[in-house]
Amino acid sequence: MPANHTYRMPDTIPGVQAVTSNSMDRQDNSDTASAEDHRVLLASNICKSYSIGGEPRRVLDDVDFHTYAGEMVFLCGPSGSGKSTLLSIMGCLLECDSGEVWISNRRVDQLSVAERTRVRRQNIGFVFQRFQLIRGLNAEDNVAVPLTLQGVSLNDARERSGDLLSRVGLGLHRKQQPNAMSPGQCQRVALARALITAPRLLLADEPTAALDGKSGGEVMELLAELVADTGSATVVVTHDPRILGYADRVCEIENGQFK
Amino acid sequence: MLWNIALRTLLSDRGKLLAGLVGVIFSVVLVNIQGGLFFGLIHKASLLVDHSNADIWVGHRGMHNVDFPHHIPEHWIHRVRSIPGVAQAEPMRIHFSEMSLPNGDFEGVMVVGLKEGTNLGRAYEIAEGPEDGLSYTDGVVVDQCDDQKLEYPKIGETREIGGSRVRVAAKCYGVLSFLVTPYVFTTYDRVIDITDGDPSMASYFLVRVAPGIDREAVCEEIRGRLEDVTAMTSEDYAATSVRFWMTRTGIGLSFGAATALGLLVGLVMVGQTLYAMVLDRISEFATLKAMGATEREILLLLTAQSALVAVVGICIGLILTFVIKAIVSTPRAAIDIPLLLYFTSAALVLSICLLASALPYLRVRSVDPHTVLQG
Repeated sequence: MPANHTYRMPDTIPGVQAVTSNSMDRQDNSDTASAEDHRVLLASNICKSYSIGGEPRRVLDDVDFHTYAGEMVFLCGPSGSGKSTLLSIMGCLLECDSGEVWISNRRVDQLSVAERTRVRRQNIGFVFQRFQLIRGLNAEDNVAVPLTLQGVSLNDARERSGDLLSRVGLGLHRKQQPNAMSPGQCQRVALARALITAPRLLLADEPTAALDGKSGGEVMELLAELVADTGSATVVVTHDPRILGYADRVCEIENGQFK
Repeated sequence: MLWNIALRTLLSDRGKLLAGLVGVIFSVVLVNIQGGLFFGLIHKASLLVDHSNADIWVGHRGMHNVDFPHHIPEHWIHRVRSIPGVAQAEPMRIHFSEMSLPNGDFEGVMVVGLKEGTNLGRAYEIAEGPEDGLSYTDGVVVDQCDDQKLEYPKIGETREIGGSRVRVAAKCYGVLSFLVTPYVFTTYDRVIDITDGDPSMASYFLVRVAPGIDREAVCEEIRGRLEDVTAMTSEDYAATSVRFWMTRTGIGLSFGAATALGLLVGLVMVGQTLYAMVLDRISEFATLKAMGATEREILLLLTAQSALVAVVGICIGLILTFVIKAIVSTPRAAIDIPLLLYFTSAALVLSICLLASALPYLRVRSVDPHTVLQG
């Protein structure tokens, strides 16, 4: 199958299961065709091994996963269970050893590095544990980066960035540098940056890990609001039990397999 | 946006930016000042020719340096004068001798004898004393810049050159030889009295051609009529004199090595600075890659940063060069920077800075965006 063409995702995915369902379990929907239409991400039979000390160690073992537009799925599990590796594979940052990854009806696991870069730019937003804001750029310009990578002019990008920053409660901090902002504010900027392009898929890696409980709660409230607005399929890797209530589904992973 | 990121991230790290700028400024100043000193020094090798007001220089066959003439019979000048297109031809004598100093020492001098009543060969302008100083009895003209070597001769003061009495009639300014030997200008005939030379011999014939006459053709004609002479246009003889010192002293290599070293230091400093900046921001580059920045965009970003450092550094460096030149340059240690050198140095340093961005790019290229999810 050529890697650079768009195809329809397979209709049936063996092994996909929702471990916990809160509000939006698409598999319970009787209208299966409609659910398939909303499916943004599909990962099937994903295997990944790392070589540690010369010995291959399997981190992901035949994992299946999917998520729908507007759905927020949490990936939980102990350290080393394979959460971040799965997130990287879903985010086209890492190649899997075997299996398939589809994003919006396009198979992406066989794409070249340049094509995967393009897929990330057009379809995926990232929220990182340590914010990863660019020093030297103020909040407005940091949020504008993904737009300008998509070819939006700097002025337009700044305008839209300013609007979104106002939406996340940082309208008065548009011109502030990241180092002059609190961790909670930085993570809000990072959220705005991840969602400014209304990506089909949002991947968040421990978004509350560097925040106190109050700030973490605020950030998750905001994330839920913004995801509801953009309709992005969202995958959140977390250790934080306090935020599990925001999940539509929670998937627990251990030793490279879903429980 | 790339320019915005390049500029703002560069400005946010002022310490490293300053280090990079210092590297570029150092390179530009060093290249220009070294080059200027070189051109200023080497220019002295042809100074007598450059300011001789002559179109053609005629000397013994194989003449290679204006300061080291091999004498030719003076009467050959009539054959030169008879060549069609020659408007004027005058002989010139250059002899080494010694001038006595008030403290009893002697200083080697190069006595240049010029025909009176013509400006052919008159490479100097009078800076002190009467314009017609050479017409005074025993009159000689010395250079103000050689005052220290000649124990500060005063106008009207009597000295001895080669045992003969001379009078310092006037002084010029800035006519210095490539050698350490001062020029002493006097009349053509007086050189024989001073140096005890052969009155039938001359060092050179200086020729002025009529307007519209092809100088190369006249040179060819002179060489045809006088087999034992070399005739060159002034430009060619100036270049020959310069080449003599360049090839026989290794001066070009010496200055060239210093200049290359300056460029190398600039390259290392700019490369090191950009590399340090990239190392400091490696996770930010990984983030950009994760967000979808392509390798080409990352390379453009780094190139833009290099170009910014280079352009700002070059501008400051050139301004600094002007200032240093204005303050430091003297006829003795002339800094003579041709316009071409300014442009060449700027282009060279810019190229090197762009080259220097390759080093951090290779580092960024190896960064896996996946690492950004690994804390």
